[in-house]
Amino acid sequence: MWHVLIFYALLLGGGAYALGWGGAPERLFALMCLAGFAASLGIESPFPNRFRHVELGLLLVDLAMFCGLYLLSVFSTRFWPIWMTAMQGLVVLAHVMPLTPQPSPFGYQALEEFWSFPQLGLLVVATYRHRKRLARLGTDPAWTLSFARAEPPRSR
Amino acid sequence: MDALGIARLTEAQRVALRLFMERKTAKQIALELGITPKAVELRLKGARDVLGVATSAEAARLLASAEKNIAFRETLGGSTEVADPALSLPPSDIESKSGGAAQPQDRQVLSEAHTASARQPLRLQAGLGWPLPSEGGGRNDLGLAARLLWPFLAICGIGVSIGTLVICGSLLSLAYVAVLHAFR
Repeated sequence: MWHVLIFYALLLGGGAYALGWGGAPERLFALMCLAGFAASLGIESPFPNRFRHVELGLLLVDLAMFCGLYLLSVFSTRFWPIWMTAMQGLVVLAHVMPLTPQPSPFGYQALEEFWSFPQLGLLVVATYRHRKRLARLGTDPAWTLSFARAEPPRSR
Repeated sequence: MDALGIARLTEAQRVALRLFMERKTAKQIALELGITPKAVELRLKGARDVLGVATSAEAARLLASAEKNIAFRETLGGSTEVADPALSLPPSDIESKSGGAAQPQDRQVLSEAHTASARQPLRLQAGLGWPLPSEGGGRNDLGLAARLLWPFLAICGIGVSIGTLVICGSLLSLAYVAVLHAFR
């Protein structure tokens, strides 16, 4: 039961911290987490059959989050989306578990839930580091690819 | 010279150029940094491309002159005008040299350099580079290919690590049971 409480604390606390104090990538990921959590409520199979076959609803939510994180890792100036995408990739891969010769509903559920803890922890660390860069530099650009042209070098 | 070029150099490229300035060969630099000579060549080439010069010696001279500029400014107490905002060191260097937080004008210089370097278009580069921030909390300056590939490489890396841990754990527990059985 403790893990559920820790998860809610991380989701709500970490999400609020990232939404209030994070840069654009941190805020986007916090929104993704909250939206993903809301979307996954009630889409699991009823209890006796839960995690006994591929949970299609969860798979779609996980895939959507994977795609969002992949875009973040390509376009943001942060390193953390790369690792977050990798963790999300492992969550997506967990959905093949019921297709293995010896499926384990408990293992499937554990793999589905486990990575949300390091992901939310990393989000808190990423937001903290963003605040530190802001304090030191006064700015912390969020995106690498700007559609505006780079300023020409100053002439002396 | 592209003045902002110096600010666009990554810390890894700066380190390679500083060692090159000390007349070290790529092999010696590689040995010192614990990387391959090929990686050193890539860093030097990257620096040459950023600065738009033909030789590594020229690139190293430009960096040395920029750093001398900053050191001179700091000797004067940091109260002089910034000769060229782009000729700045990374945040970590300035903070360590001035023995504390960056001066306000340095902060502005750094913030301009940071913003300018974030505006570089994504580029394809031969070396992947590591998806980890530098000590100074540097931004992600990986090329497009690295950004596209690293998530999948990380999936494989984490998967293999966990798989290895599980297998080692299982083998250890089997060995433990076998030892217990043998001495019973």
